[in-house]
Amino acid sequence: MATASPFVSLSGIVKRFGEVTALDAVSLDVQEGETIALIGPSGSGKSTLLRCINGLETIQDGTITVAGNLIGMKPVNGAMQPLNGREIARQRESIGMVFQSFNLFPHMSAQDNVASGLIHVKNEPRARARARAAELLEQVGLKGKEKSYPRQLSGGQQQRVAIARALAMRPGVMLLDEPTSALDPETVQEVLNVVADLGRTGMTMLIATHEMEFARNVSTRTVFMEAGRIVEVGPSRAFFDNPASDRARRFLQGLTAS
Amino acid sequence: MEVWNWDYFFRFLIDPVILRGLWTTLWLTLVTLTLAIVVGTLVALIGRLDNFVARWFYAGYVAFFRSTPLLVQLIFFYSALPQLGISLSVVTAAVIGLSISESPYVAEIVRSSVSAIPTGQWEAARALGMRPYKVLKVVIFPQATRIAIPPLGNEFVRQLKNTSLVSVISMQELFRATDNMIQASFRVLEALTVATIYYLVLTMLWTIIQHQIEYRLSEYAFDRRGAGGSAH
Repeated sequence: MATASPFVSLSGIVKRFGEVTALDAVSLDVQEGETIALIGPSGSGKSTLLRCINGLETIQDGTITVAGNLIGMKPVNGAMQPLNGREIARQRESIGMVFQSFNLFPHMSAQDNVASGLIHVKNEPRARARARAAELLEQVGLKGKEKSYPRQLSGGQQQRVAIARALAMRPGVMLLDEPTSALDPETVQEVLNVVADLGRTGMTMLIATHEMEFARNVSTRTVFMEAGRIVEVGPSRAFFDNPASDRARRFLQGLTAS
Repeated sequence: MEVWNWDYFFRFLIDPVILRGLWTTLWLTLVTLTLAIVVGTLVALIGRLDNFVARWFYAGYVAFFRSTPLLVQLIFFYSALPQLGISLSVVTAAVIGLSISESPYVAEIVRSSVSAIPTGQWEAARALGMRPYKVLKVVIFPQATRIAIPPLGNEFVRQLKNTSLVSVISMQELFRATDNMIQASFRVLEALTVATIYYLVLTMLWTIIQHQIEYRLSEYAFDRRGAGGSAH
């Protein structure tokens, strides 16, 4: 594993929003099959980091590769040029994204939401795409909800539809941006269970999360971020039992104290 | 001269000239509003481009065509362009004038309807890998249409009434047909009452159609088709 080339590789990522530096020379290698938990205070850059990986944000410096492909830019005569909308879209096909606020399409049923990528990106026949969507809904525990519209579903159900929608594209990596932060406490676990199951199937995942128990028990490594930098990276058990940095220790203590 | 003559009223009501004018008014409204929707949507999409020139084009287009009266534009297209060597037929001038003058209003409706769709919808569609035009076609437009229908309904009614202005460039629509009746009979009250009734009927028919469209696009209709699934 240590000798394999990383599936997701971030090198010296810099992202600025005007005067604010959201990501300050962030580097991270993720091996295939790893589940990475990104933790840290709000505004530390966890979400921005995920959004850079699928090109929803453009970076000012550094490089991102996924499965060996440079994301968001291409070398032209020795200089880097940004990709156009069509080229970025092609790269996103194999990168699954799950949002904090679900972002399901409100005018489509759960099944059509899940099938939308297969139909409108992969150009699969509708019948086959919808059959596949029904299977995925069953996989995330939503059999029987195929015809329901997003507003008829609870937050936890909507988020599971969103996960199924991303999985339908057969992504090589899944990015989950605080997938349970907008949920009622009682539905958080149903979503985390689906994510944990996904990890067991060997899916490569990066998850920004505030669920420390989940990070500790399910993720292979935990990345602790603050002020746009990675402060500490370590195997999750070791990190939570005995963080190396003072800053991480204080962060974890602050959470248990509250 | 008597005050009101039912005989003239009924004669005007079914007069072929009036009925042909009514038909002209109807197709002129439908054709020019459709063209205005096509042009206005394109202009609105150009205005959304992340590009200095495109945004200035949008602002300039809307400002220019919204700031000049339809009557002036119609006479310009029909009577002023020939001086530049461009002669348009009455019908062409009427269609171009009505469409162009309406397009900035449609552009503003499309722009605001598209802006009303939350950023998360764009991002979810892009994150799936949808190409830019698919994002619009599959995710944005179906939702924006629902928002745009009521104000576009307003524009239909406005456009229906605006067609009466093309009478000044001698297009034989409902109002000019009515005027012909008046010139021939001097029965102003009866003729204008007939015209008023027809305008009213067209507007009311449209109101019914618009309600049907809104109902079909409403969230309630989504639920109805959804059949089942509990609300939380």
